[in-house]
Amino acid sequence: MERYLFTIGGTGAKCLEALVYMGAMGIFKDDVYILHIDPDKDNGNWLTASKALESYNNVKALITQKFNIFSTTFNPFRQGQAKKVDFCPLPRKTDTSNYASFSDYAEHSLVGALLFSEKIRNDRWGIGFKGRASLGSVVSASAIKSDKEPWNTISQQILNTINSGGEVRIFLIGSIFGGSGASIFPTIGKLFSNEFKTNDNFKIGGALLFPYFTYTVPSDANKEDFAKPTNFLPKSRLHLEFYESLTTLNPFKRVYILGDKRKRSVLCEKGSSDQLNPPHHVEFLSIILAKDFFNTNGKDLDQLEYMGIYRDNNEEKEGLVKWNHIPDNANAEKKFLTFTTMALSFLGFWEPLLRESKFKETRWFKTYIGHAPQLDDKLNNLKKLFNNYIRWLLGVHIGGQTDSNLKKCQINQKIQLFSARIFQDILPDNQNDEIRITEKESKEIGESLNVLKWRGAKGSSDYYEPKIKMEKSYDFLWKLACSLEIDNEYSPVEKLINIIEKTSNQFVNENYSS
Amino acid sequence: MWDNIIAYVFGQNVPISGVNIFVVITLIALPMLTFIVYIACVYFLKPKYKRRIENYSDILNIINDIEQIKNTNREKIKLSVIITIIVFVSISVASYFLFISGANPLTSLFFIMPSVVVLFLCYKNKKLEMTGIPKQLMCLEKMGG
Repeated sequence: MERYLFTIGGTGAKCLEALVYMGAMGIFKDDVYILHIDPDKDNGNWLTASKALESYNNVKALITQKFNIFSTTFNPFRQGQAKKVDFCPLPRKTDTSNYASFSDYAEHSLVGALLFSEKIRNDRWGIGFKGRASLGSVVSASAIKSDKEPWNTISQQILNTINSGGEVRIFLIGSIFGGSGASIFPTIGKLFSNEFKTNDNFKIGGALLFPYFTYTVPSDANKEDFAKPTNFLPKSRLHLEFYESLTTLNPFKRVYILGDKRKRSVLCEKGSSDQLNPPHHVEFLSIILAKDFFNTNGKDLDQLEYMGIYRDNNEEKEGLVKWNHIPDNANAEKKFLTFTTMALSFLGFWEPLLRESKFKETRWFKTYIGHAPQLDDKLNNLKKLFNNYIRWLLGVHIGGQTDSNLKKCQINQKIQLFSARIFQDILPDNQNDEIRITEKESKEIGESLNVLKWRGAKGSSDYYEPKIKMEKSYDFLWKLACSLEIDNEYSPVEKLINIIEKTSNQFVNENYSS
Repeated sequence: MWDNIIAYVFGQNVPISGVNIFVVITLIALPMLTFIVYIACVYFLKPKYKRRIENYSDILNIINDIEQIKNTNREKIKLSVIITIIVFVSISVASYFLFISGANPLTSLFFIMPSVVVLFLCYKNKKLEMTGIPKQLMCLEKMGG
């Protein structure tokens, strides 16, 4: 089966970032073609996601064997001569584009004047549609056509796969409350369903994200420059009613709906590179839903179905987020814990050690790693990925975004997934710097490894006693690392990744076993 | 008593004298002493090494410690070798006296053997250098080249 995952707008970019890490940790294991569609090409959320993707691909390039982690290949689509993972639906340089200069509709200027105010028609599109889905629909209907790149290439690819007996599933993720997601989501659905709706080997589904964040527009700002958070919910309802009204014309076979009643406050930014929303658990949930769609039996996707994820009412009211709220939670929890243990043990223990010439002369290094040319460059690739991952995971755990630097934001105690303090402690003061671990921080990480999973106060039902004592975490990992059997076919860096993964996996199994 | 021991160990032809009594003591006591020194070096005098790995630099400290332990062990092995050589020479001299007194040369050789074995072990068994280092840390030994 070929899997296509399209993410739309700023929210879609955040979901794409979550996809990268969930691919890295092996929750999302299958290869997937990805395309991010955003009119705001310089959107900070997209830039962060593309950096995450780049760091993942750099690590992935070091691996030729099939591992439990880093197993997903994110394939780009061909767009003309190049292969790209992003697509901007705007026709030309975005900074100056607006409705008035949009050639496709120049001849219908009177219709435009009827539908949109002069201010909206002359508003620049460089930072997206500012929550105006109606405007986005006009542009996307023009840019997303089967005779235009990359849509013609994608259609051809789908056709080839189906003709050769294969199956294709497309999953879209976008917000329903903004401008880009709400307008582009149905447009893409319609485009492909027009061509392949009758074919049983083609299914299209998606996740619509309801409002899960809010912000306060500064009193001195021009209000029209910002999408209004108070409009998010009414707009979501309107858009959903529109999709519902499509009835038999609705191209989707399954639509997942998710959001969060407790909206996290984020900094108010117009868009472009300043729009850097912190990651949110809703985003990684959307990826778990994408996985669910791809894994669903084709026979169960004959009729349009709306689905969602729900929590216990009281827990929802309180804004609690726990492992048991996540679908397939046992698997997800273990993979999250293992990958986070990997990331921290790499940053706090393995990486500084592997750079030491004295360590490279040891029997252990020569037995397990061997001759490893350019090892430092490869360690840099791994470090960048783990560095980004820790920032991402911390972002999931913060409360209101009071500063663009996540280190300065408060951790939300209601997000009961990880004990996130350690992530904050090891991040450098300057958020653009890479994590550099001192001996003291290395010790701190070692002492935190056994209680990474969130735990409640002593005596509460959420309390657990770790099986490995805090001062023995590194001892445990080291002992394991000295007794592993590693395939000699592996390259030195593959051996290293395998060692870190196996030791972390066993650490998690042993430490959190009941 | 001495004539019985000498007659039992070396045969009836060896005359009883003060020198030969000393030789018999040397032959019996020194190999035993060699073994005691050897066993003491290997088992009883080993350092009780214990360093918890609390951060990455502890591994580097362990590598240094291993070097130091190896050096200390080498010194002990050297001492053991010197004692063994002294024993070896003493036994050889004693055996010579016995030989010229009419003892069976093979019997003398039998008494020299323990010293030879200890020497052989000290030179060939490199693991002796790692005595006292916990098993899980042995792979931190530095390997040249």
